[in-house]
Amino acid sequence: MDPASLKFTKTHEWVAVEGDVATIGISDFAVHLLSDLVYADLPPIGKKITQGEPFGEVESVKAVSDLYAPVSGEVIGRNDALPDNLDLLTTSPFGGGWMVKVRLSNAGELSSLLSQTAYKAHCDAEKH
Amino acid sequence: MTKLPHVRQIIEPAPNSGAWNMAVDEVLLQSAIENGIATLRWYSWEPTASLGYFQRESELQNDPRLANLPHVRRLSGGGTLVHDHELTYSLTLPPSQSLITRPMELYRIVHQCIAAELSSRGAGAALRGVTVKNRQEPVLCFAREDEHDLVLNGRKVLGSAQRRRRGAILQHGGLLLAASPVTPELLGIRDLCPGVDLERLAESLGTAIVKEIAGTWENGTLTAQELESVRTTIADC
Repeated sequence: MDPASLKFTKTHEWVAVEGDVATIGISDFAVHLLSDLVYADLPPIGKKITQGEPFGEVESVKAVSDLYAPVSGEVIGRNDALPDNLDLLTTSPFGGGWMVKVRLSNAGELSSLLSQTAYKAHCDAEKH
Repeated sequence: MTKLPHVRQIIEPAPNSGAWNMAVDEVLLQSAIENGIATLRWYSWEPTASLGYFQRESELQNDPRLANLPHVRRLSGGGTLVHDHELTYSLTLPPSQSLITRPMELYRIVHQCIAAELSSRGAGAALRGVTVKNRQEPVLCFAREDEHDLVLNGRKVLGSAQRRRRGAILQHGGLLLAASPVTPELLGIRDLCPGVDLERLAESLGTAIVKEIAGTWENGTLTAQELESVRTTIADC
């Protein structure tokens, strides 16, 4: 996926929208920050997730971090290849490293997300 | 890191159960998130095994030495710890902390303070400096090798782990004072440096850490609201 076409959160998740389905992952910046991921726990199909609330967890270097839902909706797809092949997050954070697909329950929430340009500016500010 | 304005230090006088200890750390993380309170806590345990957040219960049950110990799950990652003759710290930093893009630096900051204090008491500890990865990591945290480990005479005496939530960090770690009869192969500071003075260790380690991370600090206790939250957390488990 072309990162320029994605929407982002300040907590480093990305969203690609096609119709009423959103594909969700975490950015290359987040993967770099986390470094050396060893576990990922993703929600099951059918789980309802809520914008701004945790939808999954990852572990890296003995640190467990929450993943926050960029949009609300029902999980209709999950990247089951990911937990056993976390290198996908490094090699293809915006492609093969996707995490879940969600049927949007409130498309209006997309307007609260950041463009790639705004997200990059947020990352630069966090680094300083 | 940019110094925090203020840190509350809590030194617990007696060992507690695993459920209590982990509930307190969880409540302190919530206090950091909701109220911006930074806390450095020192505590000890009734003999307990703690599992890393993603570890399977079966890993504990498969080891006959660990299977009969009371156990609890940590919010943080890493391997299993046998908490027995141990001094444990937890440090909770609010979302305003400056390590948002380099949270692993907190391992180094705390461990270097502890290394310096131990060294001043004649137990020359240092950071391991290199990570050794195994395809199948040992179940026990103290059998794993991470660059941030504190090592004394070649033996790991301190390992820490983190939980990051909404920009806040909970970091906790166990300082092995002496080997537990459950895991006699894991030597502690007293085994490695017989005669070393460990009197008032929490107080002096605490002073070293708070001076490094905060402008001001004071000794305190849990608030009534935090105590209530701890009881609720334990009841909900």
